Amino acid sequence: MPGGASRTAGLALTALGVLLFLYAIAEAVAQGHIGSKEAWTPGAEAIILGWFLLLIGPAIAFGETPAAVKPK
Amino acid sequence: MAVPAGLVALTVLAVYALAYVFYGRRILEQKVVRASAERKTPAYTKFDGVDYVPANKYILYGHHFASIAGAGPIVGPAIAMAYGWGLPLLWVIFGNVFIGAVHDYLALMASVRHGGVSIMTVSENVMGRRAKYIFLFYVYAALILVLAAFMSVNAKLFAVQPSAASKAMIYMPLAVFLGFLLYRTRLSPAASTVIALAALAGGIAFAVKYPLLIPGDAYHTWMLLLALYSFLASILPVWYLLQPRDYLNAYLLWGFVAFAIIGALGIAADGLTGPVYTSFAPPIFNGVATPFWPAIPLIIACGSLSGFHSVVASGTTSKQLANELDALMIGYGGMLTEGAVSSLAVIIPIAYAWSHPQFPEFLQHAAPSLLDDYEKGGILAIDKVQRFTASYGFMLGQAFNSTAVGAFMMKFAGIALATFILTTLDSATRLARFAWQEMLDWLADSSPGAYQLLANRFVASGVAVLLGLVLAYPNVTIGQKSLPAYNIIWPAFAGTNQLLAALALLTSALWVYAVLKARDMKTNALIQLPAWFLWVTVTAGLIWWTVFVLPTYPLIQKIGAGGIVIISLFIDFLLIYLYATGLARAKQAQVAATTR
Repeated sequence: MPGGASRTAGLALTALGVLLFLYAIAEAVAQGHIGSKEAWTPGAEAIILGWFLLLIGPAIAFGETPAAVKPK
Repeated sequence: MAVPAGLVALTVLAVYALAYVFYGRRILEQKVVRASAERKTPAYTKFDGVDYVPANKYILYGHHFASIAGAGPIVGPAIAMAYGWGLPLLWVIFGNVFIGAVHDYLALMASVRHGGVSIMTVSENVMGRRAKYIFLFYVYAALILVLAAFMSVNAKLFAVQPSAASKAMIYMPLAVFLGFLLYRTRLSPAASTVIALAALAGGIAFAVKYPLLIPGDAYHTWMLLLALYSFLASILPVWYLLQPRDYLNAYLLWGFVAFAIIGALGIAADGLTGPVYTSFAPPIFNGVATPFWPAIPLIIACGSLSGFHSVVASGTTSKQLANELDALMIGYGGMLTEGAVSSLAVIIPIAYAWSHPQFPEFLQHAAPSLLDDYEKGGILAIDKVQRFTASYGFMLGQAFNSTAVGAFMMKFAGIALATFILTTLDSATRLARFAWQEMLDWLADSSPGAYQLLANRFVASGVAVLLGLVLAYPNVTIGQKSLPAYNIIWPAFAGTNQLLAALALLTSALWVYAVLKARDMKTNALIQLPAWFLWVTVTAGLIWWTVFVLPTYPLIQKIGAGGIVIISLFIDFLLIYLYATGLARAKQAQVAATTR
C-alpha cells in the first residue's frame, strides 16, 4: 500500500472529486444543462475538475497493484 | 430482383465462422504459430503492474476491439458505397479473412514471442537493426498524426454535441469505480458488472438530458482538456482505467454488433434497394475518378485491414495477453468483428435504406435536417457518418416495425461511434510512448541515466501529447478554409497507414518463415501471397494517388501530404530491400543447416 500521506492525499482528492461531481449534477438538475455557452459556471468548472480528480485521486490512494491483478 | 438482406447477412456470418475455425484456428493457431497454454506470456514474465498486466480474455478483447475501431470501419465503407454494395462487401470479407485478421493475429503473436515488443522491434530479428529504427520512426510519426487527428475529432465532437462531453465525464470515473469494485471489494465480478452497467445506463440517460456546455472557443478548450486526459490515461496502470473501461466498452460493442445482426435478420426477406454495382471508378477522392483497384485500401481501412492494428496488437494487447490460446479470439476474432461492423452495421443498412420507399419518412421523423440532402442527391449526398447512423437506425426501426425504436437506435449508433473514438485517443498516446521508449532503447546500455530521464513514462507520454497538440491546436488556411494544422499532411494518412499494414504483414510473414520455420509450400503461400498482394496494391495505390489526386489539393497540402507520401514510398522500397536480404539470409541458413 502507498504511504499514509499519499493515501490520505489520494482519498482527499477522491472525496473532493465526488463533491464537485455532486455539485455539478445539482446544477444540471436545477438548470437543465451543465455550464453555459455564455460564461463559465461553477457547475462546468466543478465537473471538469472533479473528472480529473476522480481519475487520479483513487490511483494515488490505492496506487499499489491489487492482489487480484498480480500474477499467481 | 433485389438480393434479400438476410441472405447477405447469413453469408457474411457463415464465411466468418468458417474462416475462424478452419483458417484461424486450424492453420494459423495450430499449424503456424503452434500456440500453447503452457508457454508463459510477457504479461507474466515481465509483469510490472503498469503496462505488463495479465487480463481476462473478454476484457482484452474489448480493449483490443475498442482501440482498433475508431471511425475507420464505419466511415470507409460508407464512402465506398459509391461503388455499389457488392465490391465494398467483397473487399471487406476478402481483406478481413485473408489479410487483416492474419496481420493482426501474427503481429500479436510475434510480439508475444518477443517479450511484448512492437512489430517494429520484432523486425530487427528478421530484417536487421536498421529496419527496426526506420520502421519505429515511421510508426511514431504516424501515431503522432493519429493523436492529433483524434484530439481534434474528439474536441469537435464535444463542442458540437455537448451530450457526448457529459457522457465522457461520467464514463471514465465509472470505469475507475468498476475497477475498484472488481479488485478492491469482495463483490463478485457479476455483481460488480451489474452495478456498473446500471450506473452506465443511468449515466447515459443523464448525459443525453444534461449536456455539458463550455463558453467561448469550446473546440480549443476541449482540445487542451483532452490533451491532459490522454496524458493521464496513458500513464495510469492498465488495470486501473484501461481494463475496466474496455470491459464496459465490450458490452457496448457487443450490443452494437448484436443489434446489427438482429436488424439484418429482422428484415431478412426484404431486398436490398441499393445497386450491387455502380461503376469501377466513381468520383471519390476530390471528384477524381477513383478505380476500385488499387485505390480501395485507401478508402476502406479498419473494416478490412489497417496498419494501426499491428501497432495496437503488438503494443498494448500483447503486454496483457494472459494465455497464448486467447490470442486467436482477440487478434483474429477482433478483426472479424470489425469486419462485421463494416458489413452488417454499415454496408447492409445503407444498401437497404438506399431507395427504400419508407426511408424519407423515417428521416422526416428521426433526422429532418438530412432530408434535404437525401432528396437532392440520394443517400450518397448525406454526410458519411450520418449516412451510417440513419441507415442503422432505419434498418432496426423496420425490423421492429417502430420508427421510435429506429430513432433511438440511430442515437445509439452515434454514442457507440463516439466511445470508440475517445478510446483510440488515449490508446494512441500509450502506443506512442512505447514506440518512443523502443526508439531510445540503444541508450539503455550505454547511458542508463539518460535513458531513464528521456524514456520514463511521464516524459515519453508528455512528448507525444505535446507533438500531437502542436499539429492539432493551431489553425491554418487551406484552400480558403481555416482547418487544424494536421490537415496539411492528413490526406497522406490513409496511404501511409496501409503501407504500414503491408510492411507489418511482410515482417510477420518473414517471422513465420525465418523464426517459426513454418516452411511448407501451402502454409507459406497462404501468408506470403496476401502479404505481397497487399504490398503491390498499396504501393500502386500510393503512386496512383500521388499522380492523380495530389494535384487537386491546395498548394500547402501538395507540399505537406505529398512530401509525406514520397518519403513513405522511399521508406517502403528501403524496407522491402531489407526484407529481401532478410529472406535470403533465412534461406541460406536453411541450406547450411540441411547440408551440415
